[in-house]
Amino acid sequence: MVSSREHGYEVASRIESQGSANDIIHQLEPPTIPRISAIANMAWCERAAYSISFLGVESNYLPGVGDIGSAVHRIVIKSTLEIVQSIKNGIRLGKSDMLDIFSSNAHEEVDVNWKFYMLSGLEQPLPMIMQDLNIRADRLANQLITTSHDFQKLILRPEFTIRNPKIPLEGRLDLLKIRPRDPVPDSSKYIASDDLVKLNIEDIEIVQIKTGKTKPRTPRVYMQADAEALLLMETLKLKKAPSYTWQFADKDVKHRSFNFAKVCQSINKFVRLWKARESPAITGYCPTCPLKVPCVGWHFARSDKLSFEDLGRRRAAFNLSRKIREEISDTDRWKVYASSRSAEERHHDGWALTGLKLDTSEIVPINQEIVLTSAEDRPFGSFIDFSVGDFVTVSDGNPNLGSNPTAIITNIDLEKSSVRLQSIRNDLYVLTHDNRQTATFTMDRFDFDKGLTTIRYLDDFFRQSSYADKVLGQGAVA
Amino acid sequence: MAAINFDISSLNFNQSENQEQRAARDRTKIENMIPIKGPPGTGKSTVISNCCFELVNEYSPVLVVTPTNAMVDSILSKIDSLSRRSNLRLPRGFIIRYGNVTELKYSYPHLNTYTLDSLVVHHQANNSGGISRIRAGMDLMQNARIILCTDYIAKDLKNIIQAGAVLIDEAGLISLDKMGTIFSSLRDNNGKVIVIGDDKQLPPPSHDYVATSLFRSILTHFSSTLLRKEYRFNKDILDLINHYYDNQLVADHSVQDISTADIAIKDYDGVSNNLRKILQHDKKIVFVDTNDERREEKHFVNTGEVAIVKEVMKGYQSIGINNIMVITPYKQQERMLQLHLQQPNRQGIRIGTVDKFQGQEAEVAIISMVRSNTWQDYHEAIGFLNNSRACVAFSRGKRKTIIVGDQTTLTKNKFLARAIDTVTRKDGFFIWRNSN
Repeated sequence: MVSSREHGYEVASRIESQGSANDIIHQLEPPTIPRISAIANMAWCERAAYSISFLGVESNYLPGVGDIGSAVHRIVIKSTLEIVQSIKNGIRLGKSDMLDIFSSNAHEEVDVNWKFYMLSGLEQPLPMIMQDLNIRADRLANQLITTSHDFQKLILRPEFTIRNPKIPLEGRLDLLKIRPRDPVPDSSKYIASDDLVKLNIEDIEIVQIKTGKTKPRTPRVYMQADAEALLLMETLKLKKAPSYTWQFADKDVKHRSFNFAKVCQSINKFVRLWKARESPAITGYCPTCPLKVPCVGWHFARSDKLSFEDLGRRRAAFNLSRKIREEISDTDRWKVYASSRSAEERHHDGWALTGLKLDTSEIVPINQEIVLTSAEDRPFGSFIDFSVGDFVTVSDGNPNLGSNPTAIITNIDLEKSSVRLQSIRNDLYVLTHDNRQTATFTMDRFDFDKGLTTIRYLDDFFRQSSYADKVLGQGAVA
Repeated sequence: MAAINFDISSLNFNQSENQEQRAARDRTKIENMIPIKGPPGTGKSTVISNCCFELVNEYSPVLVVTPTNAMVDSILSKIDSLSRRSNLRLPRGFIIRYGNVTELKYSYPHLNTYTLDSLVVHHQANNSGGISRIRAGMDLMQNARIILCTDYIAKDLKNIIQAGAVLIDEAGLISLDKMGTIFSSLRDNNGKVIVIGDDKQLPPPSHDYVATSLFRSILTHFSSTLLRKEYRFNKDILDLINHYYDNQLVADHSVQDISTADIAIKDYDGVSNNLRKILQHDKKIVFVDTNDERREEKHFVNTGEVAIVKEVMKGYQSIGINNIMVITPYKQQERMLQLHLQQPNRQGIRIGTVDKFQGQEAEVAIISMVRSNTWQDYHEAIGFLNNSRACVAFSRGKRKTIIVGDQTTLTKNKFLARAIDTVTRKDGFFIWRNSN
């Protein structure tokens, strides 16, 4: 139990000597870290820098499309991991068994995430999911059967999120297949993300799952892949580029040549624009802009194409966008990821609870519930900064690398030194793959509800609400 | 679900509504944008629950939005009370509590029947033809007449419901983008918008001046109704903050004389004489001066004050009072308090920052002010501990407010100096000595 008064001084002095998370954030330049997809947008349309934080990955407005795509994504990853795990455990699976796994995971996905589909207005998501999955599952099952002997040597990492302060990018890779040059000493032991860097890696394959049948890749998609590969190389200190596969429902497509120079050029441009704060003197819009709808319609229309009132509203929106962008850089959103303190240190000062074990007897898939229990030799008494209803993320201690499912705390049992979590989405599989359930976990605070808001909602507000001008006041008369 | 209209006159508003609350409700009949200023304890939740029923006939679904789940649950309990008091037999699904309900099952377990999950199970069970959860959920949401959720969740709902009216509680805490989302969920521009908050309490948790000024901007552009009668704390506590509201607030007779004497279940046996003076029931506001001896440390931690708070808290527990809120402006001090006040069964005792507790109340509030330094400049000496934050802290306790701090440092701020002066005039000023 951490209870002595001296401990408080120790904590305070340690934080002082290492700098707070906010200090670290402010040492980073540029002030925020955009997603790769956002910078890929930006590379093709300079004006996107105005509100790049918000445009992000919101590229279409069709209801439910994003939900079906991410559902397919989860089902494919989860099923693949389950099948590979069975193969590694020496269980022989026939093709029909594999197809059953895909199918049952699809049903489970709809059962667990029914509220998301309800909110999207999709009454029957399963047929839409299966439309993609039927083709894909058949093809993947064939691949998994023919290459099953390879899986013994592979280390798999699903939902691999990378943030690297030296390159102002954030990337989320759907599945990494890591092939070590030397055999891993203890194959039953989970390899933590810190230790991945130390591995002698022969090659890595990035698999990015794309919904639907093969379609032509746009320059933006190529650039996104280039940036993700570059980020992975820098982070894992790879000497050669990884292989990169877009996995469509009907076909795997390899990305063969990377243009890293262009990525660096775009980052520099982004940093320059971001630091400038003021919008560059641009009139009109780019005819090849991939962001036509938001650009042409309102955000980036020529000034003389807008009415006096719209011009005022747009100016107010831009000012607001800039202010919110600044705000985002200050929020706790990145605190977990930018923290230089170890899991142990975060544990002691109340930001995290580490040394947790997954209670495998308490996994309830349908409710997406798990129980994490504190190790016997670790007092639970310093569990001071969490309460029921808090959002948390679970990692192997370093949420900067690796998979981070997010969950809500639904119960805390101080007597049993355990905490019950309910996953936000159907992504608990990232805690159980590749013997990961035998590893220790760290639970960090994750205040993501105070984070990013997309321009889509702001846009709705300014476009549709008669209250916008009245509320903003200055908007109508600027 | 069959549409049910109410005879508003059958609702028992009178027991819960004062003149200003009535005026606010009446405005909803003729105006579209209704800002209401509600200082601490003036019955904002009551206004919201009453307005819900006022609007539900013509403007359903009525969307009720607040910044936190605890506030949503609190309003739901008010609405439930009003409907029970008026003997309304509301059909299942008439009211839906949507979103994160993990706290609800602990704080208001009897309200679980209003949650979407619970309603869906019931709806499926009563549908002989078989119906999916998604379909059941859609049916319920589209037929609901009152929906309650947080501002964060509200953005998701706009895809499936279009509200006739929105009621936003603690609007001063909601940032502009979230507010924009909520307004966008109105089905037309004639929808009703009722924004209730207090521009003198805390702004949204950001440094965004646009967001900060939003609620004020609404107050500037539309006439507002001020709720003046407060129902939370006694008159002495009101005196601590009333000058901040230009002395416009009045304590209701039901609370003006309440004290800890009404709820203490044991005598002062075993409590030291000095501590007993602080705990005395007739001292409703107390300032415990740390007497320059307990300086703040790095990162706004004051472990000396933690020790005092611990003693006072134990004193209250020994006389059977457990509904205590320990408040501090600083997160690091909150952690320190959590560490040192840790007990196996800390039932009833809540520890948190001022920002966390806006909108909540307890029988006794103990406030650790932290700041104790030799800075001459006010901004350096007090800084973050500004008037609005102090006002929120002072107005959480219902029967007693105990402020622990360094008088010399705190009196550099006029608001705090005045508060300490008020306490002193009521004979509640004590200097803490180690012999306590």
